[in-house]
Amino acid sequence: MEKDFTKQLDQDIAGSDFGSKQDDLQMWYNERGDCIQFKTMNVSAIRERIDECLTLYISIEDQKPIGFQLKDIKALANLLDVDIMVKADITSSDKSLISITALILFKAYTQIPESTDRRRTGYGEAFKTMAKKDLETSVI
Amino acid sequence: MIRNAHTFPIKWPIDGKEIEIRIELKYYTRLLFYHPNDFSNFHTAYEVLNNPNRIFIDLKRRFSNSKNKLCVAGKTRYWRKYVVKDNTSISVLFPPHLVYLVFLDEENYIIEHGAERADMIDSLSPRNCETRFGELLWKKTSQNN
Repeated sequence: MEKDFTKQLDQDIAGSDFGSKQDDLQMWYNERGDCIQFKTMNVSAIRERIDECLTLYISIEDQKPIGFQLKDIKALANLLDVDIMVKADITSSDKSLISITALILFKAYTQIPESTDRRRTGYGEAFKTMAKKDLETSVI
Repeated sequence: MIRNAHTFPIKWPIDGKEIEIRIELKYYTRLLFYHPNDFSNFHTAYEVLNNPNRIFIDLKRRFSNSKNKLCVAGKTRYWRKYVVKDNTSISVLFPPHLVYLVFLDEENYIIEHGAERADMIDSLSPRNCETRFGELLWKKTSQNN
């Protein structure tokens, strides 16, 4: 085991890779966590849980949403049309994840019956952060 | 030896034994390249895992089984803030109304980490513990401190 993990962290923070791709906004499917994660800014943020599926990342500085985490992707994707799933690999981190994410966000919102103002606005804010991403957003 | 992960030992407060915490290389490198603020706060996650206040088990999810996943909660004095113009990170005071959470899966891999608002009554726990987690597995007290 690495006895001095923090030294490794400091070396990497001082290295040329640190933040070298931060301007390339990407969605990412975290397979171990079975969640999609998306952040548009590298600022200090608070996680705000909206419901069992959706957590927003809120900037501490201006209290605005900068991204989200969407959980239970495998289960939610199984609720979608099978034809959709074969067109995109949800384990990839490439741009095709945008369309799948939009569908899964919508599915998560409709599958959980609780209706609160914060749920409605929270899902709306998650969709809005995706709009910051300058990519094809056509729904499959 | 695990080849696809960084690892470090911690003393597990429940039984006092040394366990191995893991971070998948692809998660580590993803944060390193794309999310420098989150990467810097691996420092905070490390500190919380070495000095936790609360450990919760079973992350409640509506559509899947997340039993045996853990949430480790702690409050550090400092955490990291990414400075864009210098492309580095600095230590700043950790906001007192927050807690820092580290989520572990069944194999002790870190799957997520970040700050949340603390509970109004128990300031060392995150909000809504009863609805989010199966149970409180361990709590720091003066006896086990």
